[in-house]
Amino acid sequence: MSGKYGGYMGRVVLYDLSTQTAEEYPWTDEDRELWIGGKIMAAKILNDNLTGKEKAFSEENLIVISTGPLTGTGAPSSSRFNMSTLSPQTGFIASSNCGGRFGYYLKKAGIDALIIKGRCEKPSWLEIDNGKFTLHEAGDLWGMKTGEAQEALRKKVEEEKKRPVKMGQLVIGPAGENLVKYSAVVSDERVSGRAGVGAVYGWKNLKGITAAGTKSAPVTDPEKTKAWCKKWFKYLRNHPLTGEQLPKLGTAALVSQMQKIGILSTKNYNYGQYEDYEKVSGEAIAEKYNLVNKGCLTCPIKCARTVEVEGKAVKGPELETLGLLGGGIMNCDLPMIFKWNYELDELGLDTISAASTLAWAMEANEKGLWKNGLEFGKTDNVSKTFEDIAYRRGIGDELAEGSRRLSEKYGGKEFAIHAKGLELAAYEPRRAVGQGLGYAVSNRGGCHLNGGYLVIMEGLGLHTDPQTPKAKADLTMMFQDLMEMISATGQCLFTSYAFFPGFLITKPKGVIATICNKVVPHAGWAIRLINKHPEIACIHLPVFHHTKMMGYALGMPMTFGKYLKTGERGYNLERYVNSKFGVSEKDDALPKRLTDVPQDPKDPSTKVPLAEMKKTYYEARGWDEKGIPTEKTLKKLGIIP
Amino acid sequence: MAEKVKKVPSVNFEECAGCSVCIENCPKNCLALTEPRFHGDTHTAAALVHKEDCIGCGICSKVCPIEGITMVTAE
Repeated sequence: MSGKYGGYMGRVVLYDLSTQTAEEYPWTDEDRELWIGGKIMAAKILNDNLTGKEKAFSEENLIVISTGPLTGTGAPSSSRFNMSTLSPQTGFIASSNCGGRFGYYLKKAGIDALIIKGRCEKPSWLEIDNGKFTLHEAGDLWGMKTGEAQEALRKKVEEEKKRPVKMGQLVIGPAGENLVKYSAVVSDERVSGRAGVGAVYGWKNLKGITAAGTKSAPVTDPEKTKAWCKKWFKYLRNHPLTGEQLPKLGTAALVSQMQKIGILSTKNYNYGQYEDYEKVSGEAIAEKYNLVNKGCLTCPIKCARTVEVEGKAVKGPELETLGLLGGGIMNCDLPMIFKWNYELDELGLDTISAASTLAWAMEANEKGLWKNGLEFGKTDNVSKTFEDIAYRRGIGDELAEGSRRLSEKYGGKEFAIHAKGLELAAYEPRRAVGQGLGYAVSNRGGCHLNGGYLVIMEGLGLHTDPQTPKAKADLTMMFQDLMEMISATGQCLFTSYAFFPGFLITKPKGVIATICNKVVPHAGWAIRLINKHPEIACIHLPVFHHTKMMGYALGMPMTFGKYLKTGERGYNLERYVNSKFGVSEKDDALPKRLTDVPQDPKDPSTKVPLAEMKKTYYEARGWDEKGIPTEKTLKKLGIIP
Repeated sequence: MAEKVKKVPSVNFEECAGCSVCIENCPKNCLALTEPRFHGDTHTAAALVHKEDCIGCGICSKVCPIEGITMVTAE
């Protein structure tokens, strides 16, 4: 081991595309303990290098690709990697997370994190081979869609080695090359989709990266680690969410559940229920179309679907894509959604932002604000529109800017469904108001996960009152911090689903579940107490295997409280970086449709009471009234000396 | 001199969660995930599909996070 902690490969490398040079970036055991890995580590590196004056499209902007310490240790669902950069879409920090194999292979190449700066003179791709970096010209790859480009990269590496090579790779598609504000980076079939990281690659003339190697992540106590993994895998496989719902139906299972509680975005968030939802549901995919379940490397959950598009087995759509390209644009043609999902991945576009921008344009057309030929329920021109976005042709050039910028130009801000310029996922928050708060305050912008995913308490797991603002601010903070940390360790957030004991899910009307649902809204003070003094939670929770794994695999002492506090440090650090780029209370906003217009005209409570919850949230977080972390908060967390 | 006994991996089908770590680390590409047994089946597991290529190195058994692979004498 290169330091005192297991899990780490011991190398963080800064690669300058302009000079084609690699240098070691100092990263100590103290850094490892404070900033762990993944998105927290990336935020620390961005904080140390960005002043607030940089532009997303500039040589000074960095792309930090970071793994987590649990990647490669055997921990379940732990092959994820994170990419953080200054987002061209939001103007703030973009942290975009991806499954697949790249993170695993970056560590096999001996690298914990790669920092990219500068800009290639010509289109290029970067090869990482057992810790050695080589920049190659990519003139022949430029213009390729993501599937073809990944195949071509593999071929190049294997031809050079004259043998098959096990590797991870990531690429951008035409959308990234053409600087579409919400372009993605694709790795295998998984997508680092949010906040336009692909466009930063495109501006830097970087088509892709490959990583291969033969190294193994060191583990502090191999015997205890294996025994714990065995237990943890079993727990996940026996849990109703991670062992039943997700393997059986994937995230698509949520379509029916969201319909039931009125949070399925419909017709650009005009409504929360879609009458034809059954035709685009997870059950419909499972019954008629799913060929086989797939999962990321290291994952026992296997939430991915496989469906057929034009005779080819391809990745099926996730809930967000189903919701937004289904009811979101009034379309119930499921095979059509499969096709679009595939096309968007191939073009390298974020399906959430692409679909939501399309829905905004349809409504703008309907309202006569912008005559563009796009109509709800009309699907024959959608494929072409996505292509036009990726290549910035015709109206596609304008759509490539996203719903916020379009609404600033044409009007219709009240129905541009974004926060900080990032379009919301398919969860309609007027009947899950805690999720609404999360969307608004999220560092990434309108992201359900970075927002804390409180919807799991508001009808998709537990059934606490979805309309009350009570305890929502404190719960949002706790969930955001927990998920921040899970992500930083390299694990999938789905491992946190099992945080809820199975009987609460299988017996939603049972005595314990009923008591929980009733008590939680009145327990804000207790949650606040733990949030304020996480050190009091110096325990391991039986439903939360993550903390003990940190001890066994990394040799890093961890309790639930310390885990929570480290996540809090990460969340505040990202906010601190955002504050350098001017984030303030005014950016923690939702469109008026969600805050001012009740979903049910007869029930005024069916809207997001954002101002009230935001005030409590800032207090809980230790931020001032402008939403900036106070000096006291930053010092307490060790973000500033 | 007696010929060295060849060992091959035996995967515990029920225990295996299909995480694919063994498949990814096999130097000879001998392992693959099984096909689902029926439409809608969610359980797939690793299996030795190219027994003839297996060199009995035991890497698959070593990297399996749940000790679901044992090396057994080849039949």
